Amino acid sequence: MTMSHVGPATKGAAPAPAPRRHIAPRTVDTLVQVSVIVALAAFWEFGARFGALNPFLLPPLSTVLVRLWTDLLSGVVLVDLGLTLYRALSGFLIAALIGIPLGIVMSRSKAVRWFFDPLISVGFPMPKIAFLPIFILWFDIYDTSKIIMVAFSCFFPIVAATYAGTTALDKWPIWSARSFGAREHEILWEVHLPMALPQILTGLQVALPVGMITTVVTEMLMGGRGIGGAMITAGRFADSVGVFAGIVEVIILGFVVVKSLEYLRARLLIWHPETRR
Amino acid sequence: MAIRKGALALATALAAALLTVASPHTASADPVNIRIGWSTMPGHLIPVLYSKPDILKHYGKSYTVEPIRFRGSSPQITAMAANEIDMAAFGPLVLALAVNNARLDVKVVADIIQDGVDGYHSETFLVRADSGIDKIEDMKGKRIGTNAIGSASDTAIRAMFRAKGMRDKRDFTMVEVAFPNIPPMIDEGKLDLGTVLQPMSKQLIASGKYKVLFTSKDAMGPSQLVFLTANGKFLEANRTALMDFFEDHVRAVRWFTDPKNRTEAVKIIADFMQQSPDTLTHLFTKEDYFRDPFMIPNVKAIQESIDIAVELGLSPTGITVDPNYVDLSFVEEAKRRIEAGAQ
Repeated sequence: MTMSHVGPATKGAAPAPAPRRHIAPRTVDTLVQVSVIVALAAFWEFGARFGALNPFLLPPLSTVLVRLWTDLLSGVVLVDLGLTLYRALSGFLIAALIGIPLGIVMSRSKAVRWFFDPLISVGFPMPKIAFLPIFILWFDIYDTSKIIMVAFSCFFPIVAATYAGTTALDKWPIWSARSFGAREHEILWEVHLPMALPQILTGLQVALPVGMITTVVTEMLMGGRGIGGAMITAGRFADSVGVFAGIVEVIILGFVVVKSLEYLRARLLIWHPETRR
Repeated sequence: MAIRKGALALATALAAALLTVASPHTASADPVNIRIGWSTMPGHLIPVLYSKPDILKHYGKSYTVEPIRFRGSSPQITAMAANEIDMAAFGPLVLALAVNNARLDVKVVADIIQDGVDGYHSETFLVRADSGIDKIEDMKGKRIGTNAIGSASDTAIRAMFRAKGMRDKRDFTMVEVAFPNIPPMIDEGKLDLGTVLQPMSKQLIASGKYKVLFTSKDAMGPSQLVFLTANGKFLEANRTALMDFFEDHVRAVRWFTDPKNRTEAVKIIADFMQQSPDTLTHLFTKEDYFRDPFMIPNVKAIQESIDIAVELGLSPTGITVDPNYVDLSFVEEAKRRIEAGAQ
């Protein structure tokens, strides 16, 4: 952007100042965020290198990244990442497939709301991981119990957000649709769901990290393959580099998955003011 | 007068200085608190050994003990690295991992339990009698319960399977389950094999519903299953107090294992475990683990187990236990004192 000066005051006076370049706010945001991560990584690397902490308790970041690279080349990481992702997304999708319709039905049917409301109110704040021993007994120690545990953890934020989103809607668009002769199912698809979509997506965005955390914790507690299982095995064999490599893998996986959902939100809400901002 | 005042001030200052110098000695007279990790009862005995004051000569005077429970021996490595415990109940593989991976300055100081020695009990790994599992190879694709990955009993499982060319995650799945939960999970069909400790092992085998697939002795030979290790710096800093501690420690183990005291000893343990003494009939008999009378560990057996673990790829490198990671001076001094007191 250039600044132009007009008017008699500028005539024959000092030359106009050089044009000032403005950095886009988005670029500044990105730079700040990246520099925080770089500073943290540098603090980790040099803190560990200069013996501020026992290298067993905090191995240098470079050592962890070398291990990650070695495991990546051997294919071990990809198998573990794939399994963890499969379990997390399967549980998340099951929770979404049950939670979203149930939240909508609760907002439209008193009988369903009366039945489920107390169950969800009690279940939402409960630590879901406490159910793991029961799920192991019911569904064994393989994938089924892990996926059900993830679905159980993701279900509550999704159903609560959907119910809240479809209940607290502006009545005017609904009345307008009715006055134009729209039927109930048309109002549901054309008015209710689009209006509730931002809140439903927020529920999904809350549930997804919960699902990722639950997956890793169940893998840690139940063993077998997957990032959590690999981390606990590394920990038990005093391989702290392996544990930190697992933490970095979880961070990268979580970042990619959460950013993907953010991208999906922006695409689905392309009409919404929040995306246009 | 001025000289007298000056002399008085000097005397006061000297007295104050002397008091200041003397105060650390007063502080060092406080008993040393020893934080000891343990994981299984009645095997390790650690949490009950210091519960009978009349057999302990020095408790509360030169030392006190704080037993801290862990899931197995391997989780104690991190606790020792973080300086949360001073002594730990390690198995041979865990010792090698603590030295090589965690770079701990750690010394083997005393026996805790030895496995399969001289006709004594060896840790059992049970399957359901009707499971159709008769040999190691039948475990392909099955689930195994272990108390803690990397622990002494876990090493025996891995050693047994590696000897048959089978590996965790590829050929079977290992899941961490607390010892008391393993038998019900095998019963429910949620696990196919698991480590079962005494007295449960004896009871389950007697029921006819379970059978022993193998023992720790089959996997590792007679072994020093669990032994007491200590932080090297802690040993050096508190040598005098620890001599007293080990004298009492060995004295207490000898009291518990003495047939004359068996009824009372079993009752103390049963009370601690909140069980009936009738369930602990195996204690301090040949059906129990072997304990050295003076708690002197079998260092040769520890070395052999580590060598096996390295050979099987469970530890990347081995260690030479004796003389680098052993300090038997405490149990030897305890033996000398106890024998001198008995004369």
